[in-house]
Formats: sequence, C-alpha cells, structure tokens
Amino acid sequence: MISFQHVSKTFDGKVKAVDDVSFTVNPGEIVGFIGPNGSGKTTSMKMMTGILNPDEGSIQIGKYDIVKEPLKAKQEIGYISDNPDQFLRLTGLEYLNLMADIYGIAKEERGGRIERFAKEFGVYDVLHRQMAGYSHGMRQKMMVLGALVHEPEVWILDEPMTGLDPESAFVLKQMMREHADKGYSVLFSTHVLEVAEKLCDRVVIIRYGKKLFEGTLEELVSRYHNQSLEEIFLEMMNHEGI
Amino acid sequence: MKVYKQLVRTFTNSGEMEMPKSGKQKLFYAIMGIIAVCFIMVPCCLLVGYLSYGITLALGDGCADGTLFIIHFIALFSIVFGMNVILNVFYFAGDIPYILPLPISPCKVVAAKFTTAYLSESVMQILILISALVGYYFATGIRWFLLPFALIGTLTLPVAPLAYCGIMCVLVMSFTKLIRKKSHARKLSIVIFLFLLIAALYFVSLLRDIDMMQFTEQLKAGKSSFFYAMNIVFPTNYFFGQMLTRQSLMAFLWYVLVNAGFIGVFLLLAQKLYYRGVIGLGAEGGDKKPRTVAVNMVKAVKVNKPWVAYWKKELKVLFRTPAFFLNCIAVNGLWPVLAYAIYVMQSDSAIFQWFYVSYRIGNEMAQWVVTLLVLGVTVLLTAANSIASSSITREGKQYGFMKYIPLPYETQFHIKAMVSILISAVFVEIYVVILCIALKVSMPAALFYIVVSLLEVVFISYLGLYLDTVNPKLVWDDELNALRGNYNIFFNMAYAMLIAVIFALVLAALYFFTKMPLWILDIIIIVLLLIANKWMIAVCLKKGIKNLEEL
Repeated sequence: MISFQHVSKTFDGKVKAVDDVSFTVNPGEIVGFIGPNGSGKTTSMKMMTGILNPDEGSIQIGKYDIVKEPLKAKQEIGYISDNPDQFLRLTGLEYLNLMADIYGIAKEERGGRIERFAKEFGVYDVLHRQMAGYSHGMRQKMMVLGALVHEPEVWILDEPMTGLDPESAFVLKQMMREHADKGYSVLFSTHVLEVAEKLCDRVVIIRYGKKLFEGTLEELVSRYHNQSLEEIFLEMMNHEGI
Repeated sequence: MKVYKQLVRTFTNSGEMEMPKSGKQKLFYAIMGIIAVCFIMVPCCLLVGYLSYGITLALGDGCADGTLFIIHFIALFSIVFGMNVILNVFYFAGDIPYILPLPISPCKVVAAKFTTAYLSESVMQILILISALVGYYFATGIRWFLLPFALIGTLTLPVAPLAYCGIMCVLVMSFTKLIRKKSHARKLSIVIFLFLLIAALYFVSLLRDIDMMQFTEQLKAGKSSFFYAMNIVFPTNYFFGQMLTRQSLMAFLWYVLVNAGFIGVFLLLAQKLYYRGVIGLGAEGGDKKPRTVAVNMVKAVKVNKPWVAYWKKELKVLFRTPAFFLNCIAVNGLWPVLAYAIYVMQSDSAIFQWFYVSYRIGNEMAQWVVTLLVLGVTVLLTAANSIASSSITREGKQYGFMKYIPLPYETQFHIKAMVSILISAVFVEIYVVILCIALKVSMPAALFYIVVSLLEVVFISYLGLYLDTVNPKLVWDDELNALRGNYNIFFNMAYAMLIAVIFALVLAALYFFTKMPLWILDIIIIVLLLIANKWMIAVCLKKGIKNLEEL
C-alpha cells in the first residue's frame, strides 16, 4: 500500500513541483500516474522512494513512513527510475547480484529468480556482458529485473515501458497484473493512455504539481460525456481542474 | 565561423559544473575558491616566477633558457595529460551521436572541440607560464614593443602540445576499423597514457647531465641533451625562448608560423580522418562468449553482505571505467616521474648529500624535514587522485541509487571513504617505503612514517568525500567530464594543503619554542591526527549525509 497525503515539494524556494497532492494505492491495485512532462510525476515518485524529502505531508509505504523509517520502507519498494543508463561498467549479472545482495536475497531464491526473469525478458544470454554494450531497451529491461529481483510488495515504476520491445512490455504488464492480483500495489507513470486504459484499476492525473483527478477510468469518461480518453486528457491539460 | 563559435559555446557550457546560486553553499564555495587561489595558484605562481627570475639572473645576458626550461617541462606534462583529454573529447564524448548527423564539416567540429579543450585545460598552465614570464621580465626586462607579443606567446604556448595530442589521436584513431569496439579503444587510451608517461620519464632522465650546482654553466655551454631534445620536439617553445633572449620580433613571427603549421596539419588530418575514426568505433561492442557462459555464471552466483556488494561495485566502477582508472588510479604512478626528476637533478648536489649525511647521523632538523616530506607527499597524492573528492560525482545522474536502496548512508559513506583510503594508502606506502630504504631509516622511524601517512590518508579521504557532498557534479555525459572542471577536486587539494601548512606550522612552533625531544613530538603528531580524524569523520557523516539528503 502507498499512502501519499498532502505532500508538497518546492525547489529553490520558488518552483512548486508538487502542491498538496494526496492519493492512495491500495493493496491489489494498479494505479496509473498520468500527466504531461514536468507535471510532478517523477518528483512525487522520488519522494515515495526516499530520493527526495517532502517539504510537507506524509508518505507511507506499507506499514512504514518513508521519512521516519526509511530503511524499512525502502526494503518494501521495487523502483524503476526514468534513467536506465546505470552501472554500465557492470555486467548484467553483476548488477542483478548487486541488487539481490543489497536487498538480502538468499542464494537459493536468487539464482532461480534471475534465470526466470532474464529468460522472460530475453536477456539471459547477455547477462555476462557489460551493460555499456547493451541497447537502450536492454538496459531498461535490466532496470526492471533489478527492481523486481527481491520481489518487493510495492512497485513504483517511472515510465517502465519506455524502450521496451512489445514482447517485454507485454511480459511486464502481465507481471504487474499478477503482482496486483497477489494483493500487492503497483504505481506506474506513463504517457501512453492506451496502456493506462487497459491495465489500470484507477488513475491519478496531475498537472503543474496539482492533482486534477483520482478515480477509475469509467468515472473519468462518464464525467466527460463519453469522449475518448485522448480527448479528455487534452481537455484536462488545456483547462483548470475539474 | 558562426557554426564554429556556436559549437565552442555549446561544448563549453555542457562541460561546466553548475555552481551554487545562493545561500550557504555559495558562501562555502566562495571561501573554498579563495583558499584554492591562496594555497595552490599563488604558491605555484610565486615558485615558478622566482625560479625563472633566479635562473635568468644567474644566466645573465638576457638568456631565457631558465624560462624555457619551465616551458619545456610544462609542455611535456601537458602532452601526457592532454592526450587523454583530447582522446576522450574527440572520440568518447557523449555529444558525438548528436553531432555526427549534423551537416557540419569534421574540421569545424574538431576545431571547436580543440578550442574547448584548450580553454578548459590551459588555465592553470597559462597562469604558471605568465608567472615564468614575469620572473624573466623582472630579471632582465623585455623591450616595450615586445611585451604584447610576449603575452600573446605565453597565452598560446599550450596550443602546440595540445595540437600534438590532436594529431596523434586523429592518426591512431583512424585505424578504429581494426579496433572496432569502443571498449577496446578506451583501453588503448590507457596504453597511450602509460607510453607517454614512460616517454616523459625518458626525457626527464636526460636531465641527469645537469649538475644543479653548475646549472648556469651547463645551460650557457648549451650542453644539455634535455634542451636539445625538447627544442626539436617543441619548436614553438624554442622560438618563444629565442624571442625573449634576442628580443626579436622575427623569432615571434617564426613562433606564430610554426604554431599555425601545427594547427594546419592537425586540422587537415582531422578533415580527412576524424569522421572515419569516430564512425569506425561504432558501439561499445559485446562479448562473444557462448551462451553457456551466462548459464554457468547464473548458477555460480555468490551471495555477499550488502556492504561487501556495495564495496565491490565501487571498485569495479573505478577500475573498469577508463577515465576513472586513468585519473584516479593510474595518475598515482605520475609521482615516481616527479620524484625521479627531483632525484636525478638533485642526487649529486651538495645540499642533497649534506641532507643524507645529516639524517644518517641523527640530525633532528633533517629528521624533522623527512616527517614533513612524508606528510606533504601523503596530502598531495591522496588529494590529487580525486578518488574521495569525486565519490558522489561519480554516481552522476544515477545518484538516486544511493538514496533508494535500503543501505544506511553511514555505511555507504564509510565504504566510499575506504575505497579512497585503500587505493591511496597502497601508493603512499610504496613511496614511504622507498623513502625509508633510500634514507636507511630505522624500523621504529619507518613504522612512525607509515602510521602517520595512513592517518593522514584517512583524514584527506573523509575531507574529500565531505567536500563532494556540498555540490557534486552530477550532470555529465561522459565519465571524463565528471572529473574535468570539477572544482571539488581542486578545492580538496587546496583545503588539504591549507590544513597541512597549519599542521606543519603548529608542529614547527612546538618544536622550536619548547625544544622537546622529537619522539614526544612524534607522539603529539599521532595524537593530533587521531583527533583530527575523529572530528573529520563526524563532520563527514553528519553534515555530508545532510547534504546528500538535500540533493
């Protein structure tokens, strides 16, 4: 479960990147985090994962407050950042092992998990190569694997589909659904409305750091008199909140 | 020309480190800047200026060989370091994939990249060269009409060594079709660096024929093979020296002509070969090991404690990234060149012999000097290798990793400091042991030097780490860019030198005013260093972690 309550964040005392935003991702739910570039999605996700501290408000990951008990909260999170160009001098396997070591995964579990995930994402054969030689998409796959290798309860995924080939995107979407069906929580940001439409139980839409909408897509569509999702999104971005 | 100027502006801006704009950080950086100027730039400039002044006076007749000696020395080292910079800027920079598709001639791209490298790499060099010129001016004077030309000459002296690097890079890299993989080319840059280091060592060894006590006579007689070799390798330096000695405008014209020749050859080669080399490099390249390798590796995975895994990650990044390996690890090998240079120039001198004998018979002053030498070398080596002062910077845009993993910041900080301590200590202790063997130091004294240098390495490492948390350079597109123009590295050296000077002055005051036995002073040194370390570690963990949290 993710509880994001009355959270605000200002940069340099001037730019209010997140302004009193509240929402919850319940157990068993996939929530899409939608908004244009610079709307505050990544800043919000960085606060959820402990990369940034909120100026105001509280963030709860499972039972733990990310500010008060950061290590326990972080142990619960699987996070994919928006930049897959990480640790390029490590081999894929070294990177996955690093993540597994840091999250304290036992040897019996990790070998099997790495093998299964790597095969599902089609990167098993390149695990022994340095990631500097990987394509953008392959690096993105490694980030997904690194985030999930410890099988965290809460998934926070910042644009996870970017750069993935259709097959891997399908696998990831399936994994997200399975994860939610087990009673865990998934929050992911995206620009692709079709993905949100097919995958999300609910969506949170933000613009200029303010929440515009939280609810199911059916609720959203009914409010906008059955317009297409794309039309609704464009209208929301061009007008003040609803 | 417009495109060239635009490219220079773009490359310069993209390589610059963002400075704090307001608040405490801005004040902190201003103070650090003043310390850096006072404790690195000013002492270096004064020393070089005085050296140039002294030798010029001794040579008489306006002979500029003393100044030329300094110029040659700087040119030699700017090739050793410039090669790595040029290679990286031309062939491995992150902007290359964006530049290649543009309809710009290779000549313009290379000229802009060369100008950017010259502007960013030559500031300190130019300051030192100007100091040498000022020293010469005060010793013998320069005709008024030559002054602007002398100044123009000084500003452009670093061009030829950099052009050399450019020519060598373009030639070597035109064979990238044979190298193919970028990773191999990067390894090649390490080989070139080591080769140049050996070449520099060879040229320095030519100084063996200079007896420093009779240096002026040797120069006057023109018998120095070092000068002979260097005048051929760097004709621009030679003509600049001639301009000063003969007060001749004609020599300056020759200087300009030869410089233009260097640039012309370089740009011509670049026009023909640059794109061929860059395109030939292609991608990083993969590994052709069979699938079974991956299968076996997955089966053989080892489990580590989180801190061990983090430690291994730090070491792998440092050793496997050529830019980090060269600038943080291999650079430690530069010190033997300097030490060797001092040795070959001074080993036969009366003062060196006197010092050696004095130390052997237990002269307290000589022993005191050795202690200061150990302290000084340790400060310089640990601060200059930038392992600690680039600890956070090296994370780059992925610094968030440090913050979202469930590993306490304290642990991460200690590991980063330990990496610096381990690598620096290995090199520092090599020098300390060599020094102990050369001076036939007793076992207790050797142990003392080892302990003192280790304690100092710890201090400088935590200091560097702390300084890098204040305003790390996190936005860089290639690894060398992370280190180039990174003020934290410069500030760490300045701060370390300031502290070392204060430390030495306090100890000197204690020694001269109390006349206490040296062994008591040795104990005081160890106790002071222990206290300083405890304080520095506490500051690093408290304020450094706060800085990281605020990033």
